[in-house]
Amino acid sequence: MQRHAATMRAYLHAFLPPHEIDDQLQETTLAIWRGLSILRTTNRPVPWMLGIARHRALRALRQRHKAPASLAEPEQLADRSSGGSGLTAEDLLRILQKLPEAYRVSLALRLIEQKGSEEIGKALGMTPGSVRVNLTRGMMQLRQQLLREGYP
Amino acid sequence: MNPNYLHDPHQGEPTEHDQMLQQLEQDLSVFRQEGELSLPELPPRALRKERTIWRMFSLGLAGSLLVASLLFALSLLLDPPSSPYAVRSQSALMVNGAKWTEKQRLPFDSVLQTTADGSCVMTVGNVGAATLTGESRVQILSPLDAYGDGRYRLMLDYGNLEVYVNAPAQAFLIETPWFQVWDLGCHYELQLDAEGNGSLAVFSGAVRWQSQEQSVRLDAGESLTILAGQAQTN
Repeated sequence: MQRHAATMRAYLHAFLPPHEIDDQLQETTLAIWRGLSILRTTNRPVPWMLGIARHRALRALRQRHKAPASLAEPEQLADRSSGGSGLTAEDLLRILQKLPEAYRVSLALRLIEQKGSEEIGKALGMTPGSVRVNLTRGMMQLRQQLLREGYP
Repeated sequence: MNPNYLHDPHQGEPTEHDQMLQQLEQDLSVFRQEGELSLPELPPRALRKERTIWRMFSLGLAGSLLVASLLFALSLLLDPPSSPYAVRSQSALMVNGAKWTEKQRLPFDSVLQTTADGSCVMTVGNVGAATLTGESRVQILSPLDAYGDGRYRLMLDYGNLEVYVNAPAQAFLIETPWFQVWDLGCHYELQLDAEGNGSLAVFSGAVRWQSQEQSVRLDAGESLTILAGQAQTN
């Protein structure tokens, strides 16, 4: 489980704000435990785990939209501003999360965990070529967004 | 080459187009996993294998039960019902030339013979019973309506046959080489020798005696003499 924890953690960053990641990672792990019988039979365990992580993340997002606005988030933002542009790491993450899902999950694994397209492809159940296409197109969109924000 | 193509971190240095990418990697590295998380580990592989074996065994067992149930249902559909003739008590009974010692159902087409001091009481489904006494021989015939409404038949070659029928009329038919005896809800006794001589006595209900030329109805208390297969009505 530890082997794939970093991948799941980076993957969750494509959906959720940083302060919710650890909770949802624990929830995901619990769900994986409950579905061990499926894990034993699947020949692609990592995409299966990431599917659970995605389900958990989307459910957390739905619940957050129903609940009143959270006050927990801002405390960690101050010391994470990037050099010169005034954008914090959380701001960068928020911009990343505005991309289409196929692009942002590949980019999250690439930018946060610095995984290669082979590894990303295995994790997402895609071919490396498809991953490279998603990374390229995602990066193009992200680049445009960031340039508008004056980054870097 | 596509200028926006991303470099692979494991395949050499980034190009000049990847400056923003490098900056992003640096800025987003704060979210990178450092050290191990306190996550539970999966059960050891041996345990998982054991569970898999148990799961396979359960699936195999369930599959076997399913196949057995299907075969049983199929056999019920394909196999005809067994003979309704069951021996209740007997002495010196021969079936198909062999001494009969068991209390079990008699198959269709079997020939029953009793000696002068022998007897056989057999039930006929839920229709009634037939008692064979003295030196007698009968053959069990298959029902008129195969597996249908229970018109059971016996062929009496010779001997004494006493019949109880507690079913609707014409449920049980006795045939002989010369005539037929239809029950009409009754208790009667038929005696016949090998030349077609004998008698028919009705104790309750009614009986129809029928040959190709004659048809006689006998009610309780009446009897009929038979000579060479012909009813003596006088």
